[in-house]
Amino acid sequence: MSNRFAQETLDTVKNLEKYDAGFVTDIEMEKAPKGLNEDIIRFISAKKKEPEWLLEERLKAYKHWQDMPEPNWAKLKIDPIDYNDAYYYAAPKRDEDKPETLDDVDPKILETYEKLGIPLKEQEILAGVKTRKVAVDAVFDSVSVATTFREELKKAGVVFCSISEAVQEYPDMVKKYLGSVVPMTDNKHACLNAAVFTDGTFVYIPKGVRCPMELSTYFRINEANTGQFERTLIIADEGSYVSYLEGCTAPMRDENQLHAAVVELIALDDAEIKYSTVQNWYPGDENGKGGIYNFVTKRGICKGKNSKISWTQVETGSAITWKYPSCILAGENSVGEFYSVAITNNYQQADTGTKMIHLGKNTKSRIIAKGISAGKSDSTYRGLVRISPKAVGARNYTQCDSLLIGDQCGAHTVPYIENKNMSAVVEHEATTSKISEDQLFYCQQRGISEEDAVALIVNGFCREVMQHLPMEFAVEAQKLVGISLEGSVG
Amino acid sequence: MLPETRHENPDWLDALRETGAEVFAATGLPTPANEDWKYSSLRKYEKEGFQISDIIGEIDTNDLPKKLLDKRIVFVNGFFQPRLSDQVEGLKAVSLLDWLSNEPEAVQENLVDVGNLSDMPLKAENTAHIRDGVALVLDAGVHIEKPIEILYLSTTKGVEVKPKYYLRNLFVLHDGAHLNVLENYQGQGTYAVNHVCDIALHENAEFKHYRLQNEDKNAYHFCHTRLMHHARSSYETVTCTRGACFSRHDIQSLLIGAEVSCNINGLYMLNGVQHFDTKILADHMEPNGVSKQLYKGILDDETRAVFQGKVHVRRPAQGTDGRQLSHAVLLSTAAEIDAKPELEIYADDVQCAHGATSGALDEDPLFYMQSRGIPKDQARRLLLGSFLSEVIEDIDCAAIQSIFQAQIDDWLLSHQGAL
Amino acid sequence: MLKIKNLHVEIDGKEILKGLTLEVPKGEVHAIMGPNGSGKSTLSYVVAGRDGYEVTKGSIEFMGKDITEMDPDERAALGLFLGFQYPVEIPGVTTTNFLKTAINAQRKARGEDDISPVDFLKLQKAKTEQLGIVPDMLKRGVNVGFSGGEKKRNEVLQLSMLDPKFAILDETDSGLDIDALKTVAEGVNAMRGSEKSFLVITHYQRLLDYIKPDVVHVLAHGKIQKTGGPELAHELEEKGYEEYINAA
Repeated sequence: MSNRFAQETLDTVKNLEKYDAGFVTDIEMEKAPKGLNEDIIRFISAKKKEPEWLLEERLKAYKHWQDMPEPNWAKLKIDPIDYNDAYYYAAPKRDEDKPETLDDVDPKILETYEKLGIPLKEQEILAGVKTRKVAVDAVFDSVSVATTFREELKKAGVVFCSISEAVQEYPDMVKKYLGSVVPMTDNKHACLNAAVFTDGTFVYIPKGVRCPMELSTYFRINEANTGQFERTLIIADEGSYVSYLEGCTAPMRDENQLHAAVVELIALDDAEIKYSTVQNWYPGDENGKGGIYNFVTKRGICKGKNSKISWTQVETGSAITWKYPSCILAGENSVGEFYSVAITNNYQQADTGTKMIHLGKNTKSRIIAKGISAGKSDSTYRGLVRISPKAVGARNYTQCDSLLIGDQCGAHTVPYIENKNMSAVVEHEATTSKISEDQLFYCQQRGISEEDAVALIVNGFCREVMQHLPMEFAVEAQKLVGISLEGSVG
Repeated sequence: MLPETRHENPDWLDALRETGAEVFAATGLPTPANEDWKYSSLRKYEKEGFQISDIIGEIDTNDLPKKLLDKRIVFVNGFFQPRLSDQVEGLKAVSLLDWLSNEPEAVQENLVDVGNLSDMPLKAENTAHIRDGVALVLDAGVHIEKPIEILYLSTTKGVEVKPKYYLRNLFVLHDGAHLNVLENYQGQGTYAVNHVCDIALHENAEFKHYRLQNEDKNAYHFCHTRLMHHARSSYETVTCTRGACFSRHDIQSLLIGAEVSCNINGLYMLNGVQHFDTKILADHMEPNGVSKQLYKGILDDETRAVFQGKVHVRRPAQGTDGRQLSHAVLLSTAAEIDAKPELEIYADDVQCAHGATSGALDEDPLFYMQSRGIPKDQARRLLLGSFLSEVIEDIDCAAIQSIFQAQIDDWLLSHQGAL
Repeated sequence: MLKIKNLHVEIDGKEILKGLTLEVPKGEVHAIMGPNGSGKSTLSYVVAGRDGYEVTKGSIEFMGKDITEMDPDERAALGLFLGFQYPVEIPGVTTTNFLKTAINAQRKARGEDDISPVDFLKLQKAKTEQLGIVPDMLKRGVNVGFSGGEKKRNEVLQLSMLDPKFAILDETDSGLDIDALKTVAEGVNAMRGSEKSFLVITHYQRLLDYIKPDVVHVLAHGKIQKTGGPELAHELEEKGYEEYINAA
């Protein structure tokens, strides 16, 4: 299997443009006026036909947001953001009210997803054109335009829809869980999201159900001068299992665009959520112009005993990444995992990592983070492992490895390890290395070009993490490794 | 017993004190909002209401703790005590006040570069109160291989207030000089000490610097060390921490020359409500430097230890080898260890690694040892002792090594009940 | 097949090869013997195209092409293989993956299609069995945690799977016990034929008992000092390199 990946990596490196998702779809959009104020929030809420309580929450969040400072503890250089110079709502005019069937979706949008390699046509998937069944929620700028396999999932009792639909159809669940893991006052970016989120995905897996297929959301920013603020909420009821994937791309533009998402996961007794991300937002050009600001708050709570949340992320895109998918391990024997690859090149900056908060007895966590820096980029692992006094028998193992390619980049490791329980065992290891001349020459002597050799060696370096991705994503991720490091050697 | 003649204060020194006072007035004491002090609060210290004191009660040799080494230099409540001290060959100066009266320009040269004081509030406070301190100055090529003990005794004898003492220490080793020193911190009563230690290691100099912190369990101990490492110089330090209810040790090692070697190690044994915080920076600025940090400790009762270590490798510092390890054993459910081992790296051809572990003592070998007839408490002492001894294994001076070993043995024996 | 003319090579400004001339025709096995520091490894690296070895004079011709300025992977695609004295570890990249990547990269460079997965696995199975390699080794990272013997076997496995026209074996015998040495030699001998050439670099005669050379060269002070038949190797074994070391 890995051979195929490697080969595809090599092929792709040769055949593709540097950022092949960088095109723009020319489509007529419905937009809210530029800027951010209470009226805009009312506009969004009205567009979504939201109940009063949600509008109130939004307005409350907006009030808080105005007084909150920008988080400044990350090792990032961020130009001040003019929040009033962006559109907070942009939806394709024709599909603003979500089409009933795929046939009703604007063909231009379908074409966009086709071009990105995202299967929206159920028939094709069933006919075996695509390898495996994956249900997709397609979010285009501010709205979900299509959600596939809903009927089939419904038969299994699984709810898979956009968050806007969930607000209408499952208001009790949304009210109960929205903001329960990431409170609106958590940080400035999350607070902004609470005020202006437009769409996102809602998943509920009922008791004892193993979700019959992988679920995914594909986020696409298309419109210029817009931000994307999606909200994802996944609830895995007792004894259930779900594997969820997300992917994201955006056109190449000279301006920076803001993406401030919030993801909340809730795992009840014996439930398991596997959450995988391949983040390929536009990273900016080789001079550091343009690119997405990816400021994301992702957190899951293992509420029930024996529950498990596993985050896997491959971060290759974005001009700036600020992201710490975390686990609150409240339930006894619950498990949190974080597997991460972060690659930066040119002028990209990434400050990413995780928090593992051990509250319950015998909770376990595992962190494997691989950072690769090339060009003039900076990559930081920042993590927190906290063992509370009640977390008797807790265990954590953390391993952070950094690879530097060239002498103009930086690689940093900032772990915080707080152990308040003598019966806990906490282990942390970190290393820094580079690709040796010996390794490159050895590969080249066997006929592999220098650039391909770098992709091969870096993929080897990341293998422990890549193994945790679902197969389709692993292929994509391996390709991205090669592409994102283009021009980093020689 | 204050020095008989008060020397004229040079203008530059007054200006320096003034700068310190101004900065400290602006910063105040650090709080946990300051990232460097994230895990340590000075609230309790503030409440104690320590006051500056110049009083030194009558101290004679009988009041001093037992000598640990052949030669001893004694400071009491922040001032040098020539009558209680031995003569050491090869030293240009022993105390700051002496050196100041002999070579004020040389003192100025070594004292004025204080770094950015606003990042170091306690050093600013110390700077505002520069009085006396150790000044060991070795000319080029002078070798003092036999270790010298420096005793810092703090007493509250005859002092009405809760006293606060300052020491400003300078170690200057010119090209190729060698020095071996054991600093021994002792005291009785509730007091606070604020030590600042500036070390200049010129080319090829070699400094072995050992520290035994055995302050009174009611004392507050602050120590800030700044080290200028010129090319091919080498530094080895081991700090053994047992005393004080609150202690904080800042070490900034600036590797400004190439091919330097810097080993910063420590062991700590805490009980009661002791709080011990170490913050280390190894800042590699030039190629082929080696820096190593190893901290190991055991925490009993309601104690808390903090280890914040950072290896910073700047762009020119290719060929750096930077390592950092922190291991802690918790003996009590109420003890806590916080570690933040940090790497900041801007050069690609480097080897850097860190590791941190914490948890209870590994009990597996206990049963094995018991089955061989070793009683359980003795077995635990053996295990804990060997855990800590790793820190002192590489000390090549046998006298120093056995002093540290005795400290470990003594602590473990006196906590027999707790183990 | 390989023609080296008056080759001068410098490393960091220091001249190591000082006018080396050597020709290995198609189908022949040549051995290069020489004392330590004579430039044996430099010769193998410079033929394979390693960075940092500066050719100041002379040329290297392979298969009728001047390869002096080519990248290492281009030379490999032409059919040149170097068996490393110290094979390199590549963590996380399995041997199978590595081999397949290399084979297809070479095929692509020659304008051929990729090897089919089935053919690849068949070939790999046949070769590993022939060389007595345990399949588990293929799943581990390239050379990671391999013993000295395993690393050399892995080199020979790659040699037989990549099937080059010309192979340089740089001190392949170092660090091998006698059984491993025999396996390695058998692997090489199985490939010998009228179309392939080998350049065996060694300090000792031992390996040449198992891989019989057609021609033996003595390299010292950066030049070929003497060329002869297999008997020259035996002569060196008896008399040592003294005569050549003192020559300059």
